Amino acid sequence: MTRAHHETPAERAGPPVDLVRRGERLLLLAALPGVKPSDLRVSIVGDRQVLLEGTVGYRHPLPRENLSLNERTYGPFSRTVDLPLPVDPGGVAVSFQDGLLSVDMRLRAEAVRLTWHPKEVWGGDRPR
Amino acid sequence: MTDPVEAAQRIAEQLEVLGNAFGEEFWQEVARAAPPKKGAARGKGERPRTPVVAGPPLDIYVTPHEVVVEAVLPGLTDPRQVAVGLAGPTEVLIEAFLPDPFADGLYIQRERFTGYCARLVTLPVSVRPAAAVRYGDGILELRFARVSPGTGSEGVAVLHVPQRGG
Repeated sequence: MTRAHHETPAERAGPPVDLVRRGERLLLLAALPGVKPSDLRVSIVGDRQVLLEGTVGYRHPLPRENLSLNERTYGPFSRTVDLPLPVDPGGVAVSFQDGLLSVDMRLRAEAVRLTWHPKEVWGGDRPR
Repeated sequence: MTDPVEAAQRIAEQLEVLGNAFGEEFWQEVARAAPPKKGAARGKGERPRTPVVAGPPLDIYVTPHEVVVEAVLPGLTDPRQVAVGLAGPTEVLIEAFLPDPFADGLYIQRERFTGYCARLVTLPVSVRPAAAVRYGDGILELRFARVSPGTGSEGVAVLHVPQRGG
């Protein structure tokens, strides 16, 4: 298979990913330039992982070895992203435009009301 | 009036000073792309070269009438976020600003590149100072008309095959 010949450690690492907390939602952004929506698969694994799988298709009219300069990467990729917060697999919205994937997930955590006691928090005496 | 060649040279010198640090970061954090592969940039005569290793990864190929440059720039939202210049018949400067939709404090994890990036690259053949542009799937495609038509094989890597035995 030709993939092994061309594949580098960078290609094996998968796409770069950002995670953003927005209110009660967790947003995952992944740069996937050159990927067609039909070539991308996004899965929520349990409530703490997102699996990104797909293929960057080679679509130039010339064979790869005939390019004057070739820095883009092609072929299959896969990356499992560990989420720092639990999410509700039922509350996920996915969009993909201009090579930028957005996975908007609802957090699965009920807010606990905190009652602060200023003296205990800010004072020097702490319970042992 | 500013001479575009001098301006491009000045930008190239400044980028070279910034050079390796920015380039390394780009490779590691942004595209996770491979550095130019051995032999991939070799060609007949004028070979493509990358004097400044910074900015978006590129693919370049030549057809009988065009030189096609593809730059990896995911997430552009406005044509004004890209500027392309010719610093000579074969020197192309690509500048881009990848927008950051969120404030710094909201990020839990950050690997994508955002902000300004630039790339100066030499084409295998001379081109005219106009290009057809297309943007899709995070790839910017520039099609330059060649000054003089050719076979399309200019700039193609030629691999040396050593003789066996002896």
